[in-house]
Amino acid sequence: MNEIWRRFAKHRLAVIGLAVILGLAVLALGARRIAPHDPIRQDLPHALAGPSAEFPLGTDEFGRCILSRILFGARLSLLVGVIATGIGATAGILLGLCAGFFPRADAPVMRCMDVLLAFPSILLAMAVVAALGPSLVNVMIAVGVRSVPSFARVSRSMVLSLKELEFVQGASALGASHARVLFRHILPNSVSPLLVFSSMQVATAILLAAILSFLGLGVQPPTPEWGKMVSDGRAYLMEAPHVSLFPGLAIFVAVMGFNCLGDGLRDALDPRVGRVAVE
Amino acid sequence: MIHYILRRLLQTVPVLFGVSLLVFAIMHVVPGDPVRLIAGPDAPESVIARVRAELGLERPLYVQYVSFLSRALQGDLGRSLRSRSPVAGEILSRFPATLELTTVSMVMAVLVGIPLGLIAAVRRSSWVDYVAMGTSLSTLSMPIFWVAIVAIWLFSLQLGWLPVSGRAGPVWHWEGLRHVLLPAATLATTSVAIISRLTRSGMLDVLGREYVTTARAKGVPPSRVVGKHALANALIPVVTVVGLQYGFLLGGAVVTETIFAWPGVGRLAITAILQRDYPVVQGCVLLVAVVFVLVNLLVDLLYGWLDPRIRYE
Repeated sequence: MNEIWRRFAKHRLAVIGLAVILGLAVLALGARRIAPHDPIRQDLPHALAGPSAEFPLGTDEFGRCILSRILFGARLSLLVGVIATGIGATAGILLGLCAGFFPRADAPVMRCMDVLLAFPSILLAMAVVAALGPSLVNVMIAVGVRSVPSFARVSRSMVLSLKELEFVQGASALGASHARVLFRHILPNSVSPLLVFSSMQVATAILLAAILSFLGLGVQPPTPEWGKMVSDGRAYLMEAPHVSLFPGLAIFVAVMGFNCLGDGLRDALDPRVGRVAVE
Repeated sequence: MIHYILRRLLQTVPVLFGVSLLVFAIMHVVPGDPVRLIAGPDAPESVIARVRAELGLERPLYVQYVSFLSRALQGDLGRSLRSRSPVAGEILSRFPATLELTTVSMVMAVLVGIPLGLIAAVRRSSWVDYVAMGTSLSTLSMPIFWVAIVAIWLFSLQLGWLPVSGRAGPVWHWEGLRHVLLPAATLATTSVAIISRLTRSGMLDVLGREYVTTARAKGVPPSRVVGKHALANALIPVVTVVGLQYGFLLGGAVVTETIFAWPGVGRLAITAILQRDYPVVQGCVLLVAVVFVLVNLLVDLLYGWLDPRIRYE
């Protein structure tokens, strides 16, 4: 553990990433105390005001404080990113473990994953939200579904390489059940690549969720959401560019944090896993 | 070789079958009745029943699926619920715009990404390397819609150099070129980042190999070592990614096309999804998946041509 932390700490970018994420999490949790204004109540006389002492990042078309909305929006984006990745990881890892461990499940499971992979992630997520209806939970599901095949592939390849090793063979020979071998011996030894992969997936999930909201398929107004805020600001780009600019910057910072963390973890734990991009 | 191509083509059949099943399922389990959408919310029951029968929606689901599949195989993707025109025609009429946007953007990405990665690798750990890699990591973290908006704000609204949105004819006309530049550049940002990172790591890997040392030792000029001996091998993974990214974007760059009001397949797809125009959604998604699977195949074949060590048994 100490060794891992030392290698991790050597990677300056990763430490910055971790700090950014922790900082954002604190801001998100403390939004109610920190935010200078109510994120939802309208204040039309102050509409589209530029940054000032009272409104540090200016106001939107309804006179709502953009800083306060960004702080509350952080809750949503972090939550969606983490839970969607959790959904994708749980389903994907279970499927991958089965495919890797039981030869008869391998082909059917992995062909289904190929089908999911044939869809561009944005289109797949859009279709899922369109089918289920736009809501917070459905966005999480849609974004999570997208990462299922990648998680399945990573965990399957882990199983395939681990199950030939002596300690796993030994456990089987001693009469351990399939479930015990999978969850007690194989899974714990696959944690580090999965962790690296997950942190990069959270970054992608936050981006994808923001895209869905931007296209009008995400959380519905007046809930403050970063992607939706950028989208709403488009109409005022000429006279008040800050309305779109700052929420977009917030997305960038959050995603960058998880990407840096992922890069750092990868160097510290496992150099094999790559990255996927959206659009 | 022929055997390999045939086998790969056969392998795509179950995938495409699954794709069609999934697309069909997604669009038929949705809440909300498409018939109400066409007939209008206040239509009498008799009209509703007639429209339902016209669309064949009263038949069992599996019958609908079989007829959907058999007609799709003959190139008939049904008619749009909104415009009543054939879906295949709607998609084909928008494909040139998407093809143009994607091609211009990939050309930009390759022209910027490869030299950037090359310089970063040759000048490893210099400021050029740090700036190039820092920029590409940042670019990968930016939401593309935000990049687009900042680009519009800067180049269209503030500087007035390029038009805000829309398409004005083919790219070889001056106005057409002016219109495609901003959306293509926006779309290229992610690809530039990926390509430059891959080129850099590929070069670093290759530059450490013995044959490069041999080339240097026998007195080949440094520019030739890098440009010919190393680059040719470093670019093999880049070709894969460029190919896949190209195929992926041919299905319509949904976000970019939406923001720049670019009349392509991606914009058709999102409009259809928002309007619950099922046949159009099905058609677009099917097209995307088919193109993607075929491009995958092409990339695999290209690989063998570039790297003769790869043999297709």
